Amino acid sequence: MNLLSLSYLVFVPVVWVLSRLIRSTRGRQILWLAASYFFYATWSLKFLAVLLVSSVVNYALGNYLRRKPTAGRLWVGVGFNILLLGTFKYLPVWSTQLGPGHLPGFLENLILPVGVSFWTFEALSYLFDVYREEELDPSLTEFCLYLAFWPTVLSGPVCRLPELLPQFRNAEPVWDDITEGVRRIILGLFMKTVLSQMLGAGLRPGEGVDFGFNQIAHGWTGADVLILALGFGFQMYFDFAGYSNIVIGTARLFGIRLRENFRDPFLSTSPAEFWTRWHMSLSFWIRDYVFLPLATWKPQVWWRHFALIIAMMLFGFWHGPDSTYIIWGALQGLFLVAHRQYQQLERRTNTKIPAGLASIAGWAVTFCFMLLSWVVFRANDLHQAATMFKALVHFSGYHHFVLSRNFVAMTIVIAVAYFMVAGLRRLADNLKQVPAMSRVGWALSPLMYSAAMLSIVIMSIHKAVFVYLQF
Amino acid sequence: MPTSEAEIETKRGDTRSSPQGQTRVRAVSWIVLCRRAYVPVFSLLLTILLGNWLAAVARRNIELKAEERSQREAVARGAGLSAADLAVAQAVFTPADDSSARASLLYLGDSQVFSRPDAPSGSLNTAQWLQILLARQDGQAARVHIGATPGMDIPEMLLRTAASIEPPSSQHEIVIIDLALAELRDLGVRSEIQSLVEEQGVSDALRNLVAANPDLADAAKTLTPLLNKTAAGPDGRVVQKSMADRMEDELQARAQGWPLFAQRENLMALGLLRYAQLEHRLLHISSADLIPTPAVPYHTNLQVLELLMRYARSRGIHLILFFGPVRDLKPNPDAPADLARMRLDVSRLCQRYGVTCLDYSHAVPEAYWANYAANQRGAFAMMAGQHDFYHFIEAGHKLLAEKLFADAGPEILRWSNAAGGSQ
Repeated sequence: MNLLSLSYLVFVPVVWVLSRLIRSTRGRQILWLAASYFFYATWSLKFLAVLLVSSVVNYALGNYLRRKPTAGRLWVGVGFNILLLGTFKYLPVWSTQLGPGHLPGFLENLILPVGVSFWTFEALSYLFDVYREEELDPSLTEFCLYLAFWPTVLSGPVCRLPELLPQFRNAEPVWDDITEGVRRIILGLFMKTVLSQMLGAGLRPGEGVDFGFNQIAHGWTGADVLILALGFGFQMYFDFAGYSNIVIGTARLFGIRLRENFRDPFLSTSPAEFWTRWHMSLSFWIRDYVFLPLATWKPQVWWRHFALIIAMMLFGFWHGPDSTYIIWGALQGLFLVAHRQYQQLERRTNTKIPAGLASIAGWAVTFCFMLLSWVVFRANDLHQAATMFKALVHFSGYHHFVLSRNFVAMTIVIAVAYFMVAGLRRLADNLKQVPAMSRVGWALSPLMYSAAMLSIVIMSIHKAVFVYLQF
Repeated sequence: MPTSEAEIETKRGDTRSSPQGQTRVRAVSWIVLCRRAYVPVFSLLLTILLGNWLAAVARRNIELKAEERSQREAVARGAGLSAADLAVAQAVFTPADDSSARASLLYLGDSQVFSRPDAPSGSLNTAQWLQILLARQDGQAARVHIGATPGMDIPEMLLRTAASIEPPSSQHEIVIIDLALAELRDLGVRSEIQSLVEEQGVSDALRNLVAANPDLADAAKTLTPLLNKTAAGPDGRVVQKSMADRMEDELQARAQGWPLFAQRENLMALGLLRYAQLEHRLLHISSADLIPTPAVPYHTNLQVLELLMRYARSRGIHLILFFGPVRDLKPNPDAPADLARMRLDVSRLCQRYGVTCLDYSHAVPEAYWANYAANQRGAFAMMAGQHDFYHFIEAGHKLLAEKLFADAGPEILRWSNAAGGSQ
C-alpha cells in the first residue's frame, strides 16, 4: 500500500475512527502499532521481519546504553545499525556490481526493505540521545511505534523520539488538526500526482525528466542539460515535499505534529540556508549527530571545513553507494566551505554589499549551483554526468533542444509558477492581516480545493511512485 | 471569524457565564458548525459536480470520435466497386479471423495509412485499396488488416507485430510498413499498445528477442522497461499479486463507478489536445514549421527497426517496407537532409536483412494532398486553413495502393500461395 493508493484513502479513516473509539493511551498505541505493521506488511512480510528485529535489538541496546552510557556501548549500537544498513541497503548494490558468484547465495538474494535508511537513522538518533543522557523512557510498544509509525516508515521525515514520545502519550486531535491535516494531504497529492508527474514523465510519450536522463543516452545540448537540471530539481522538490505533506497531514489527523521537511528551498540565498530548507529532517540529523561531534573534535578551521565535507559526503552516501551520490555530497560540502570562506573574506575586508543586491546574487548563485549539482545526483553514472557537463560548455549547442519543445516550455512554466506562487503566498500572508481579504480567501477556498482534487483524480491515471522510496 | 479551537472556546466561555447566554451559545455553535462545514462540504460538492460535468464532456468527445471512426470505416459504393470489393474493404478494419484466406497481412504505419481529411465519408484508404486489388487478382490470396495507429513509432510497431504473430493470436505472415520520418522522432509506447504485450507468449518472445540481440543496446534500453511493466516479472515468471494489490484493484474497480474516475484517460487526452491547441496559438506554430529529428530517438528507433527485421526473419515473416509519400512544398516540416538520411539508413538495413524496400516519397502528386479545412474541428482545429503535410485524399490512397500492388503484389501473391501450400 502506498500513500497514493485508494487503499490508503480507506486505511487512514478506518484507523482514525478506531483510534477515536479507544480512550486509553496504551490501547491507542497498540492500535497504531498494529496499523503500522499491517501497513508495512503490505509491502512485504520479510521487510516487516527486518523492522521487528531492528526495533527489538535497538530497544535492548538503548536499555543497555542507559544503564551505563559509555562510548563503547554506543559503538555497539552504531555498529549494529551500520551492519543492518550495510547488509540490506549497500550489499545488494555491491553484489550486483560484482556480478553473480562472488557472494554466498542468500546474500545475493537480499532486497532492500523500503524505508530502511529512514528508520535506521531514527534508531541511531535514539541511541545517540540515550548516550547524551536525555530523559527517554519509552516502553517497547512506544519504541516499536516510533520506528514503524506508518506515515513516516516509508520515507521519513526522520523523526526524533523526544519529539514523538510525548505526542504518542497525549495526542488528541482537535478540529484545527483535522482541517490542517486534510489541507496538507490535498496539497501533497497535488504536488506529487500533478506537478512532479508532469515533470518526471511528461505530458506525452517521449517527454519528461526520466526520458531525458534514461532514454537520451548521449547527444544533449547545453540547453537540454539546463532544462533537465531545472526539471529534475523541481520534480524532486514536488515529489519529496509532496510526499512529506501527505505524511505530515496524515499524522496531523491523529493530533501528531511531525517536523517539517521542506520550507521553500529554492528561495534560499546561500547553501547554508538551502540545507535548512531542503530535506530538513535528514540535514539536521547529519548536522546534530555527524557534523557537530566531528567539527568540535579539533579546533582548527581546516578541520571544521573537512568535517563539513565529510558530513555532506555521508549525506550523499546515505542515498546509496553509487559514486554519483558521493560526489554530489562532496560538491555540496565544497560549496558550503566556499560560502564560509566568502563570509570570512567579507568580514575580514569589511566589504558591505547592499542587502538587496547580496540577496539576489546569493539566490542566483545558490539556485544555479543546486540545479547543476542535481545533474550529478540524477545521472545514471559518472560518465553520463561528465557528458552532460561537457554539453554545458559547448556554447554552439545552446540554440536548439533535443528535448521536446513542449517539455521545455512546461518546465519553464512550472519553475516560473513556483516563484510566482511563493511571491503570492507572501503577499497573501500579509493580506491575511486584513479581515476582508481573509474572508475572501476563505470563501474562495472550496474552488481551489475542488480544482486540486479534480486534477489529482484525473492525473491519478498514471501509476506514480515516489522517487525517495528507492532510498 | 473564530475558526481555531482556542477562539471558539473563549467565545463559548464568555457567553456561557450569563443565563441568557445559553441560547446564544447554541446559536454560536451552529454558526461555528456551518463555518467549519462550509469549506469541506462545498469543496466536495464542487468536485462531484464539476467532475460529473467533465466526465460528460469526455463522454461526448468519445461519442464524436466513435462517429468519426465509423465514418472512416464505412465503405460507400464508389464508382467501379463491386459488392465483393466493398466487403473485403470493410473487413480490413475488423480482426483477421478469415480462415478462407491463405495468408494474412498486417499493414502498419501512422495516420497516413487511413486518414483522408477532406474525402467524403466512405472513401477508401491505401490498405483497403490494396486489399481490393489483391482480392481481384485472387480472392483467397491474402487478408489485409490495418494495424496502423495515429502517431505510431517503431517500438509500437514492434509490439504490434509481436502481438499479432505470437500465440494466442498467431495471425500474420506478411507485414507492410509505411515508414515516415515522424515515426522515428518519438520513443513512447501508449497504454493501449502496451497492453498488447501482457499476453505471456508475446512478452516472453520479446524478452527473448531483446536478450538474443545484446548488440542493439539502445533498443533494449527502450523495450526492457515496457516488458517489466507486464504481469510477468523480469525473468518471465508470472508474479502473484499480493493481498494488498488485490484489495487496491478491487477499490479501483469500484471507483470506476464514479463517472470522473472512469473517464480519466479520456479527460487526459482531451486536456492534452486543448493544451496543444493553446500551445499552437501562443507559439504561432503552423503545419509547415520545421520539426527537428533528435539524433537519439532517431538512432534508437532505427535500432528497434533493425530488431523488428531480425524478429521477422527469425519467425519467417515476410516484410515489405516503403517510404511514405512526402508533400513537395516549401517550407516543409521534414528537413530534406533528415529525409535523405532516413532513406539511406533504412535502405542499408533492408539490404542487410533482405527486406523489400520501396520508395514512394514522390508517389502522390500535389493535387492529391489534403488541406485542413478553414473550419477544421476536432484534433486538428489548430491547423485550420493550413496545408496538411501527412495526409492525402482518396485518389492519393488509390494511386499509392496501385503502385504498391504493381511493385509488391506479385511477391505478396507468391508468399500467400506458399503459405497456403504449407498449411
